Order: sequence, then structure tokens, then C-alpha cells
Amino acid sequence: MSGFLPSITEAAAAIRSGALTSSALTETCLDRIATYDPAIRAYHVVLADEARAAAKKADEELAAGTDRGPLHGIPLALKDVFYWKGHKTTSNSRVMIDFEADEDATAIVKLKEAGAVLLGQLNTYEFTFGGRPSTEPPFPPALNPWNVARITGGSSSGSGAAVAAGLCLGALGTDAGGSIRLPASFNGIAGMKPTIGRVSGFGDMPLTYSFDCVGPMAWSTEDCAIMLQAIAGHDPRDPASARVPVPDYVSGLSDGVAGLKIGVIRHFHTDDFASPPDIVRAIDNVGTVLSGLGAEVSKVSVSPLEDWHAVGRVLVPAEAYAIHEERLQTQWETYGKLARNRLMLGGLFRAVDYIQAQRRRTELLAEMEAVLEECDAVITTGTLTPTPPFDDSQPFPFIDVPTIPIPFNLTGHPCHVVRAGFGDDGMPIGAQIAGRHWDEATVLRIAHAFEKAAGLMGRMPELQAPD
Amino acid sequence: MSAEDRMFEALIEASGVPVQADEKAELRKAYASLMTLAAKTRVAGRSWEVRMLPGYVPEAPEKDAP
Repeated sequence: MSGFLPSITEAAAAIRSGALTSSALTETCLDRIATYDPAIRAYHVVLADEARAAAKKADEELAAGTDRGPLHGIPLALKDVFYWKGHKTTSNSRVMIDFEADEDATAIVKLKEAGAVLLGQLNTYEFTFGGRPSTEPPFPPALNPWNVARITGGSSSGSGAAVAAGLCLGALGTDAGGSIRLPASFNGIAGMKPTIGRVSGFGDMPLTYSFDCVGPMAWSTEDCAIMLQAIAGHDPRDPASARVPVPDYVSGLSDGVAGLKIGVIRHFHTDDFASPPDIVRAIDNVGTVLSGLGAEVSKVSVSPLEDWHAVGRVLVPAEAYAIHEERLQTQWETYGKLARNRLMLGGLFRAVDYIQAQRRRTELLAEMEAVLEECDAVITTGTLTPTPPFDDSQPFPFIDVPTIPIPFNLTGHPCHVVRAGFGDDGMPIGAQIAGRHWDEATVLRIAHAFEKAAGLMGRMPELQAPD
Repeated sequence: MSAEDRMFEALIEASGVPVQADEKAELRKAYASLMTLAAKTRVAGRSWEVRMLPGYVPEAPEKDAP
């Protein structure tokens, strides 16, 4: 078992051996959703009938000898930002409440081709702008299965909560400033932001044009690797999609880390921001475990986190505002208050602010590239603070506290979160592992080795079913 | 009114976005923080050879998103 459900690998093997059917596994997920989701609110829409039909088809295909690969018959779910023909895509906003695309997002096309069973759409922050969730949008925010008084992190909030609560075997998220990695950290699961251009963003409602990435979230790194394999690759419909070969992400997962050079960017959470001792210990332990497995682990330095944060806080809102400018002018009242003001921030920059931030980004990228010439990967914390309480009274909490995932959005490097431990408050702590451009395979290999050696994945949230 | 106040008011007005007075007050506070961050992205004496990363791609998409 991997969490509350079998892992994708286990389920795929059981389905092929005849010990399990996709239909039975899908019913298990639907039962769990019916029992636990009222308290977690991870799902925006559950598509039970469609999921049952897809599972039945998957079973029939496998019985007839058609095997689409390890996702064939596996129940997954999607953040409510992907175009899905026949369904509304809202990005949790009244502005998009009646929007229905006439074709599927490329990620959905690929998951369907891989035989996945799609259980439904998962909640997100309005228009995927991070910070804190709000109770204002039309659909209530997901709650953290580990403690419903704490936030899930976002904006792939429902994706993180659904995976942690065992309401699907994996989920898709999107990440322009940490929206996969923060909920992965806060929910104690794995989540991969691939290299920018690795996975098509066609049909993903954008937050930005320069940074948005589609990626997998699952209980384990191995399951993320299987999902990434299915969705990666060039797509002519996305101008940011790269023509780069897609390697095998799964076969090398167990090759170990002996001889790999891994840098720890410790100053981000010790000097640039004073994270509490439990977070510092957890991240130090990642280095210790990997060192014990034969990796050469050493401290490395780049510019202070505040410098990365500054660039991100100019570029992300500026691009988001450009996307929403016309609707903000004409439908201001239709947006939730928090979302419209967060988007409005981007209208307060001048062109020169944007370009100077882009030039600083170039300098910062050069720094990280220099580090990654010496190291195969770098490690940082996945979160600077304990999981915050649910509180939507602060309109702009993301301005004054640095954003720990943003460096790898600015550089475009692949970055994966693994569970690194638990805080004194019992909440999960995540670690980020980032690697060279297009080298998701090494990042996943390091993460997989840590997960196996650290033995932290046996602990699960205590779920409460509503009375 | 400070230069930053005037800039803020002008940007809000020029945006054409009907921001309410109470929300504008919150945005004004945030604007001060944002300008501090924007200043941090500037490096004194930076060479003009430090360019922004190319944002173009050499080929057009086959089909525009709807």
C-alpha cells in the first residue's frame, strides 16, 4: 500500500495479475470520496458515471489484450484548470463559471491515451493565484487532510489534499510560483514541476506565460515518474513546448545516488529567512540520508532568497495582470475580492520594472547554472514556515514573506518535492530537489532513493468522516 | 502627495479598472512593498549585455488556443 490506496505501480501489477480490476479500484476511490471528501473538499466535481465507464472500458481493453501502459485503468484526478470537452472549466472563478472548451487540454488527451480513469476536477485557488485560499470564490477551498484548520497550500490545493487523503492515486497540478510544490509539501506527498517546456500547457488556463508548468502529484516519487512519462513531450499546440527527447523516467529510479554531487542551499532557510528548527532539522536530514547512500553532499550558495523573491513578485503578477486586464476592467465585481486585488498588483508595474526584473532573472539563472555545473542536483526546503492556519484576512501574504519555490520557476529547472519529515506540530515538511534542465530523471532518482531510505511514507493523516 | 502616491494613483486610473476605495487603500500599501522589491531587481552599473532571456520561439503554434 502507498498511503490509503495501492501505489500506481502496485495497482498496475494487480490489475494485470487479475487480483484487481480498474472498476473495483475506481469504486474504492469513489467510496472514499463519498466518505471523506465532504470534510476535505478536494473535489470540485466528481464524475462518477464517466469514471465507471472509463474503468469498464479499461478492464475490457486489458481483457482483450490491449495494454496502454502503467496508467491503464488507474484512477486519477485533475485540477480544475484544464480544458475538458463536455465539462466546464472554472479555475474556481465566477468569471469562468460557464466556460466550456471545445477540446481537451493536451495533458488530458495524453492521460486518456494512457488509459487513465479520470475521477473528476479538483479545487484550486481562484485563477491559480497563490498566497492563501479564500472563501469568496464560488467553490469552497480544499482543506488539509492532516489538519483541516491548516491550509493545503496552493494553488493545486485540491490535488494535494486528494492525493494525501487517498481520494485518487495521482493528480495533475500546475506550477508558476510553487503551486505544485507548496501543496505537495504541506500535504506530505510528492510533486514534480518539470523543466519549463517539458509538458504541454495547451488547455491549461494560464496564470503566466513564462512560468506555468503542468506536473504530476502523487503519494510517491515513483508514481510521479509514471505520470510524468505519460504527459511529457512536444506539443505543436503549445508554443512554449520544447522538441526535446523524453527519456525513461522509471527504469533508472532505483539506480541509487552513489557518486552523485548534491548541493544544499541551506542559507535560504537559515540565513535569508529564519525557518524554525524542526524544518532546518528535516532538511539537514535529507542531506544526511543521501550522504549515507553514497552521494557527495555539500553546502552551496547563491544570491539571497529575497533577490529571487523580488524578481518573482514583479514578473508573476505582471504577466497575470496582462492575461486578465480586459476582464478586470469589465468584470471587476465578478472576481473574488482577494483574486482581483492580487491580479491588480501586476497592473502597478511599469514596463521598465518588468524588464529590469527579467534582466535580474538572467543573472540569477547564471548563478544557479554555475552551481548545477558542479552539482548534479540541489536541495532546499519545500516550505519556510510551518503550515499556516486557514486565514483569508491577509490580502497579500506572499509579498513580505519570501517564496521558497520561486527560484526554480525563474530558472526553469525541474524541481520535485518529497516528504522530508514532520514538524513539531505534526504537519508534514517537504524538501525540494532540483536538477539540470531536462534532467528530471536524476531528480526523480535522488528523490526515490531518499524516500526509500528515509522510511517516512508510512504515516498517514487521520481522516474524519462527517457525521 | 509623494511621487510614489502620484505614480500609484496614475497607474490605477490609467488601468481603467474600477478599483473600490477600500481596496485601493490595501493596494497602496502593497504597492510600497512591491516597489521595494522592484528596486532590488536593479543592479547599479549593470552592463547592457545583461539581457532578458529570449521569450520567442522559432515556430508558430499549429493552432491557437480557443
